Amino acid sequence: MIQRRQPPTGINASTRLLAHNRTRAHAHVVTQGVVLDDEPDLLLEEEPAKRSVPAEESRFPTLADDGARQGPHTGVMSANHPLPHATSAPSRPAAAPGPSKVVRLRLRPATRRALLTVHIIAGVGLLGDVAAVLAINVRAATTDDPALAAASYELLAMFTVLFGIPLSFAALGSGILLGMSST
Amino acid sequence: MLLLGVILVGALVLGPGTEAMRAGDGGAEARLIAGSAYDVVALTLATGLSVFKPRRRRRGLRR
Repeated sequence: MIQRRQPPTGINASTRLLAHNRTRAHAHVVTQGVVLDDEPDLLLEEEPAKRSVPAEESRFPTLADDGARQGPHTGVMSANHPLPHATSAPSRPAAAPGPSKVVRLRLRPATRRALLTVHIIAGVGLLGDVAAVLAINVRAATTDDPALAAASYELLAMFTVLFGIPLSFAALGSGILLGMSST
Repeated sequence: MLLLGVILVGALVLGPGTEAMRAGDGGAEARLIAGSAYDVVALTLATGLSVFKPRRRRRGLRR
């Protein structure tokens, strides 16, 4: 028989939400076959909410932002995706910075969308540039006219300076920034 | 990696080859065609992998 603790009356809404969250987490732990006798108090559950959440942990939603998120991590309790508060450890230590610290950028959605647009334009432009370079190279190699071949190689040099170098570095830089800002 | 490969091929193969052909030395046609063909294939592959992500699809099938 599972006895669920009710949150004490007179507490604020966030504590009530944590109590509800904890009750669901406790039910999940029981379904896994582990019953926690010395389950931590609700006061311990408030501590992670008060401290600043690192960027790595902010991916896990709480019940408060269920409506704002969509996708696989919707905050619904299941056996595959338990909430982070459903751990069986009595007191989880704070996330200490390990040796493999991941640097993440936080961009506004408009900035990220503009960066993605720049990346796509640069990538597609670079693809068109190298396709044109391939066509000009084939034409210059197969022609019998030396003047046309010389003009083709002059055009190739202009293509490299005008399109190739700026577009490739724009695509590389925007791709690195997008990769650093993605979760 | 593919984009870095494109930049390296452009700097090490296409640039010197184009300069050699402009100077009239010749003999770099095959290198130029092979390098630019690699660039086209690599950028097409990068564009395709940015749309179709095989790791995400495999993870979705496992669920």
